[in-house]
Amino acid sequence: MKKTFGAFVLTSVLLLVACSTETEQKEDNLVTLQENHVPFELAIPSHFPDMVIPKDNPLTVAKVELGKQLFFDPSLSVDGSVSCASCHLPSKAFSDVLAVSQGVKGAVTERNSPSLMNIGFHPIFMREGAVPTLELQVLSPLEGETEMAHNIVLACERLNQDSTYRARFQEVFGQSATPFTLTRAIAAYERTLIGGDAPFDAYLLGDSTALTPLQQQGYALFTSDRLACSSCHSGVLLSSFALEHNGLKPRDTDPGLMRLTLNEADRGKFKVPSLRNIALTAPYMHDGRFASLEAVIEHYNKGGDGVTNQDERIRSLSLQEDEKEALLAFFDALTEASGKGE
Amino acid sequence: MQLKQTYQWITGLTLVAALVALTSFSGCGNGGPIDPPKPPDVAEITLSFDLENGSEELAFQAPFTDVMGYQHRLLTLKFYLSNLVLVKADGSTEEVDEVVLFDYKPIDPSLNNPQWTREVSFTLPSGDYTGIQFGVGIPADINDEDPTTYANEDPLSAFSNMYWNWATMYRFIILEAESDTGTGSFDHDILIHTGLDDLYRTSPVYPISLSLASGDQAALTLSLDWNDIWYAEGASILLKEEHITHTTDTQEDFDLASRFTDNFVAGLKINQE
Repeated sequence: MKKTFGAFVLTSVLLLVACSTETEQKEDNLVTLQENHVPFELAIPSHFPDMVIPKDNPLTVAKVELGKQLFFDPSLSVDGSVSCASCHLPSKAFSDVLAVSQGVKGAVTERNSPSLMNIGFHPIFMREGAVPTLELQVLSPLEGETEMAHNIVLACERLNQDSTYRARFQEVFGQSATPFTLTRAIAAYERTLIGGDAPFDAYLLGDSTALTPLQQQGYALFTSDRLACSSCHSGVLLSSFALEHNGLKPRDTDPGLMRLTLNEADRGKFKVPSLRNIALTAPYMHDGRFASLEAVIEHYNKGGDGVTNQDERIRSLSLQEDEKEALLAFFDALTEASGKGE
Repeated sequence: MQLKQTYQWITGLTLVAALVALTSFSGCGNGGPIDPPKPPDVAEITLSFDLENGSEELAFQAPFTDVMGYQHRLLTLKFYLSNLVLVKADGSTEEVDEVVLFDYKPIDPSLNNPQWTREVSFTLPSGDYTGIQFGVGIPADINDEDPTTYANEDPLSAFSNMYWNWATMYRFIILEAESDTGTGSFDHDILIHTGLDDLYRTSPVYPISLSLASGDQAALTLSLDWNDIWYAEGASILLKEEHITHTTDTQEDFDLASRFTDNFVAGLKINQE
């Protein structure tokens, strides 16, 4: 009977070990999958804030490479004519040269294409700021009727018909292209679009010669109480990322934040854009109405269009010509080498 | 003595084999008492949706004339029901589905993709049921879910085309039609997209009378009269002028979406077959 009991104990132990081994095996697979992937080390400048990386989307070299390939692939659009990069040109700090971009079949979008440089540091996305993550943001252009006009599931099906893509998704995610993996890959790539190498950055890091005297004058004006540009375009990223009304007269039916809140007080409010690479990203404003930075400065100089909901900080500035030149010179100093596609 | 030891060893092996067999049935990590499987004590209910024009069932894309004399062709009608519960005779409730998506469009057999229909089925414990209740739309606690985390077949997946990407929330009802409001051609688009937490509505408890034994199948029909959507007493919609809303954008859009939603929900009826 002792032996019977012994056999029982032995078997129980063996079964427990078997169960434990099975569980550990699953965990091992997960760990192995992750360990096989080389983490992507973001080159975040020392004076930049930390970047929040979602737990469900750790950066790996392979994932970023896949995301980059997808970003430049027009097959994500319904007719294969438009990629993300069509409206986010690397040489223009990942913005567009058109007032409002063109989607598939000549469709015209409603808004100016924003720069994607340093986009991983933004806390909210889209002009009315309703999208909380880069992953979810991917859905908007991909499925937008005037942009890529696709359905993300069908876009994934198309990708999975390509043996190369199928293998790459399998390698990166251990599964095929799905709405989850596709959005994670593109967002991962977008998080790597980091600048921080503009003359302005060198100046912030202590190189007092990085800005010309005129640029330094422009910077002083920019941050002065009189102009108060930096009250909205604040911090190292030159944006508060708040939703503000910058005094633009409504031109179309785009109500900005009010689209989301239905509050009349939010009509015309849009996310404050970062001014990094601003010299590269013409035309300007949410609808691309201004072709040049001179026109932008003039808008603020006159105190905006004097419209309902206009922020009280938008007021007449009485800028002298040399001050306008100084501001323009300062804006040039915000151009990152990586924003020019270098 | 040797025989006794052999006997004990065989007995031990038998016990071990029995233990292994039982453990295999129960599966690792699922502990607890091992009972022989019982047939599930459940019944099945099919809930189908009918859109009507007066007393006639409305056919998808086929022209029809409403009570105002306007002609329409229905192009899209999709909507969510959520928190679907059946009320038991003792007043307690049985939740049968968290989210259901109805799509009035007929199945396209040429497509291999997930498709939603005018009919859903669900199982529930046998018993006596006296009512059914649901929400129209997606409740706030899951309205901000990430659609890419759902399988394609799930009503909350990106594939359902019900997600408002820019707002990161779901549309609740999509109704699209083309109409002839007196011009002689179908040149008047109806485009109604409702959403936002404020437009989530909970239905009344519709009375039913179902005594379901194990294995029973029952059918309920959710019906809606097109005319009740637009010409409800006290909340009429002037279809000539009020025919497009995305709920957001303007207060007028929201007001129209709100009236549409209220009429839609108020017009729903449950019929028991």
